[in-house]
Amino acid sequence: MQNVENLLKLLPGSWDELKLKDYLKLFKVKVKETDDIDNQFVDMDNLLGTLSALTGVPENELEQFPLESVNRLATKILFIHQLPVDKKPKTRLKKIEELTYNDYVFFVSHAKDVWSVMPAIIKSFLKDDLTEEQINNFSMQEVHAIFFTLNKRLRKLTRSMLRHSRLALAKNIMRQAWKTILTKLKLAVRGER
Amino acid sequence: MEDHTYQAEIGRQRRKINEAYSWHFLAKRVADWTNETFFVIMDKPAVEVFAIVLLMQAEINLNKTKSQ
Repeated sequence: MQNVENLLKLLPGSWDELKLKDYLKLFKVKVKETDDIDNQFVDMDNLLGTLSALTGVPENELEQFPLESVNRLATKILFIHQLPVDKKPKTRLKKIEELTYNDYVFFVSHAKDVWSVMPAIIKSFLKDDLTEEQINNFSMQEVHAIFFTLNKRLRKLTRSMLRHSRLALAKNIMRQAWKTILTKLKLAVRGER
Repeated sequence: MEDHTYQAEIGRQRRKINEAYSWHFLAKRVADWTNETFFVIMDKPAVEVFAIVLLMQAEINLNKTKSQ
């Protein structure tokens, strides 16, 4: 049986320590919905499932631990309840305009289940050619930073495109108005003659 | 109740194919329109491809108004 101190070393203590490949393991945890009566038991089941996925120790083995030890393990992964911090990524990202049509099609066709192909999606956004294994070792803080920055860039691009479209529309309206005025003037001049 | 007629089955298959490959069909149409190959279009920036799609749509609309 594993020692609690060893398990504590295996567990991440922050989003910086939680790797993408370990985070993906959490999707396999069968999270049970809580109800009013069995609340604490269901919470404990979910917690053991999470700890088991992150440490690789089977759930039934974790159930043998004293409650105080399980509490210590749970305290270490408390950071999961808060979102990672919004900041710049360490890796270099492609500009939105540099993303190929192929990348777009890949992203759209996996939109329903992005997490199953997350390393490949991240790879398509990166400027440097990293392997899938290297991306799997990214921290979840880095993954969050990548998507935070992409979202920010996309919003900026949309805003500038909107501004450009509005300007083009205003120009068109002005042109049409001038045309109408000129036609009316021409008609008026002809009428006078 | 689900329709099991031949026509309905063809419709379902067509929808499935469209769902999976519509983006590739679009790339093929852009390739034909620009006299490029399908693979060249797939590797072009998405923004550029969509700009061409807009042009293609504009041309279709223009042709529609001409024929009216």
